[in-house]
Amino acid sequence: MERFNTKNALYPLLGFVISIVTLVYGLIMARHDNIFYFYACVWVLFVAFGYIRSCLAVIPVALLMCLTFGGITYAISGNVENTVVALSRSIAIVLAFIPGLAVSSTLFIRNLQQFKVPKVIVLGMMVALNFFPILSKEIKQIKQAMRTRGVTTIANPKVFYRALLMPLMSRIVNISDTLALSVETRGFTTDKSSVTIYNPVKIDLRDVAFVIIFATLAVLTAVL
Amino acid sequence: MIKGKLVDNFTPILASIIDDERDEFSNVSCENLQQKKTNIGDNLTTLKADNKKRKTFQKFTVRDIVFLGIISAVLILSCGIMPLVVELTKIVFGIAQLVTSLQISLFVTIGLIKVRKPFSLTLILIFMGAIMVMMAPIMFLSNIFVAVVIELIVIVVFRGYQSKIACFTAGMLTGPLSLPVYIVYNYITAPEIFSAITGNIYIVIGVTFAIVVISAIGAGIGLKIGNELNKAGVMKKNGKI
Repeated sequence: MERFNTKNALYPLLGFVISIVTLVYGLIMARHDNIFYFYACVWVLFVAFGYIRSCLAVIPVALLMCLTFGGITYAISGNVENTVVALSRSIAIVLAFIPGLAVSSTLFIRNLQQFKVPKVIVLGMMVALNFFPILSKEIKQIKQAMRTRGVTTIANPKVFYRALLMPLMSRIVNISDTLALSVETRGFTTDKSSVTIYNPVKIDLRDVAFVIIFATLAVLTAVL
Repeated sequence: MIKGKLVDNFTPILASIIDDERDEFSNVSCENLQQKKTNIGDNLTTLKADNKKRKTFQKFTVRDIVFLGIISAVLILSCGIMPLVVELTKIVFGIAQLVTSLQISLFVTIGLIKVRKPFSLTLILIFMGAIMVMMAPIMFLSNIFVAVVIELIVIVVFRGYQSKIACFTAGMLTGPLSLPVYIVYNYITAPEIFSAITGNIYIVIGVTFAIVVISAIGAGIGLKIGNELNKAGVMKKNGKI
């Protein structure tokens, strides 16, 4: 995930809000004629603001989602208009990913701490956000172990339970214990002691400019 | 002969000595036992009071939070199937809950078995909702509603997650309880879709029943895994079944 991070990302919480606004706006305006222009402009806007890596990363995801959702919708309803709406919603979901992909989790967590969000929630979110790569690595290792033992399919529920689910849960519990020790060693606590934030995240003119352009695009799409 | 006479003479004397000793011994041991009983009673009362305090509200440790965060990550990954059926939600009632209730109930139950503290479920669902809010804002609201309702039920009925049945109930209810939120959401945002998907009452009842059954199966498997992990000594560091 870190390879998609941008050096000069937007203010993390602003990026979060932009994500939600893009998604909600896309879902509401899915039937609007100009919505695809809006998506194109927002994508270009993200590229202009240095989000090139995450913008390129979402293209294959967007294609896959459009094919899947569009295909399913067309297969069920047989209606082109409904299919276009499904495509529009898929693109809205994918566009909403861009700010989230570009912001490093460290910066996001620091921003949350600045706003005095409870430590319990900050810590839990940090763990959850950073655990995806570890989890996929663990699943790969368990699958390798399964192949070594001659298990070729997990379609059998007994095999799935015994060969995949049990080792995975056992590993997860062990990893959580080790991770907890590591987190404690780094000085994370759940008590109410205050936290010193070195190098706090601040809003700058670039963020303001982004919001103004984004809002203008949204209004123009709705009006024109 | 002599041996027999000696035995006959000494037997009553020995018997009386033994009787005396027994009385004395029994009196002493009775007193001791009484005292011990009182001590044990006091200890038991203290333990019960401590246990009662512990049952209601316990502080979360870093270890708990880390585990709950990991369970949330696993839940998000396991719910990855949901986007594939998102378009079908406009046609089939409760399809999103139907395809995710098994894994949600399973992992939530395991999470609660390991961290048996009130509001564990709330934390799992908040972590999950906060990450999912960018993809599905309604999911965050749904998770908050489900967490509040289940925590209330568990605290009022079971006084926490100390018993297996409390973990099972919480795990089992997590999936089905999100259904009312989606019904209300559809009713407000898209009334025509709402009327279309709830048109056939038999389908609504059938799907709801299926979600409850699948959730119960998931929670059952979660308990089984928890038991096995406990037997293997993986869980014993923190929680016991």
